[in-house]
Amino acid sequence: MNRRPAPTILITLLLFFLLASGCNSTDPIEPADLPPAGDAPVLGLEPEFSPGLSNTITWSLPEDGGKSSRELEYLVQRSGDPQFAGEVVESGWISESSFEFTGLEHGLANYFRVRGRNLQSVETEWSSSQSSTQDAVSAIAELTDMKAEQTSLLFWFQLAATDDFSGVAEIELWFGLEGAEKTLYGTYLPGEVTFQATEGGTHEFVALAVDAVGNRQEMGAVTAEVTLVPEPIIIIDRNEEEFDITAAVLEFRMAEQYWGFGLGRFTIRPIIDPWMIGPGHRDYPVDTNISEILGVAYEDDVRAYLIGDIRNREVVDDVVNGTPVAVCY
Amino acid sequence: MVYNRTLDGEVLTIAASGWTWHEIFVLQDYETGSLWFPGLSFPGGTDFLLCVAGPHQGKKLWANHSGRTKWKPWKEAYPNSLIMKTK
Repeated sequence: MNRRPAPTILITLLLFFLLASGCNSTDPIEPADLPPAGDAPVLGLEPEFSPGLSNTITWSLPEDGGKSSRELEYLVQRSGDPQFAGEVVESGWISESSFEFTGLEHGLANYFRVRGRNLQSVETEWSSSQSSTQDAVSAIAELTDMKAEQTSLLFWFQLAATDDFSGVAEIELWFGLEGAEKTLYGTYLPGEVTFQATEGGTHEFVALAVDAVGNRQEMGAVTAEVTLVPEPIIIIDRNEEEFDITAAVLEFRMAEQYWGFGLGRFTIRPIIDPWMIGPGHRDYPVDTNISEILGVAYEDDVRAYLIGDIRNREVVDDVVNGTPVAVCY
Repeated sequence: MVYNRTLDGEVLTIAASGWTWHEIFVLQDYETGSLWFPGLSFPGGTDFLLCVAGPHQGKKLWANHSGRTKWKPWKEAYPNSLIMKTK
């Protein structure tokens, strides 16, 4: 009989244990009975660099075939620490599936993670984190090897740019002639640029760098002013006299190869203040003469010039009715 | 063509320069040596002489009214017309 109490003690202990368990179950529903919150949301991929000083984080829910409650709220966290230690900024529980963090710091990396909870406040695990570094400062362009005076319509210079974070994407080259409004001439990768000018004058260039996240250097950041002084185009006539025809060729499109003769400035002399004869002079042509003439009639002053006579000397410098004129073939 | 040869109040003496461009005579003025070329030779140009090189570069001498015809009809229209005699 001395051995009998043992089962009684065991039963008593069991009852006590069950009663104690009953006390813990004052929560009316077991967690196992709640609709599960499901797998953690998945953050959209973050780029290595994000432009500006804000970043919008997005996420989605993995498909689970209806095994979990899909009516979720979300909590997003941002931290400068990959372990989310130290200062953590939270979105608060929100129903949207994106959240914009503002007031971020240029050059600093941020880590983000998100978790969901369903209507019964059952929370998912934290998502795996994503990180991105804010890049709010554009690249800086450099325009080098540009001579302030160029002598050729075709000239070269260098475009370079530096960027501390996302890197240089391209350099815009803006160009304006003689104070005209600048227009985009082209976009370049860093390196040598060949510029084809069409005329002389002050050429103004502005180089603006754009970085990999689209930060664009402010207008007017790097400027070069170049005065194009073309190498003179000289032709030499038979008297060894030099003629500078640069403007004629470049501005008036009188291509150099079509200039000819070069007989000398005073080889063909004009007729100056010509001798005019009137009716009654013994050399006055008869009325029926059909020679070609060039005629002028300025009020009472009427004059004719035989084409053959003009052609010989090319120009007649006359004064008709008080007006100095050049009669040309 | 007949061009007015007064430019900015100064009377120019126009002459052949000895040069041609595309077989057309390039003119000059003796006062500055500037070269002049008929505007009709340029795309969209009209009846002027354009200074293409020299101190007057870019300036124009405008044409005056003139006519090219034969002596007979001219004499009928202007019985008292003078005519240039060269020799």
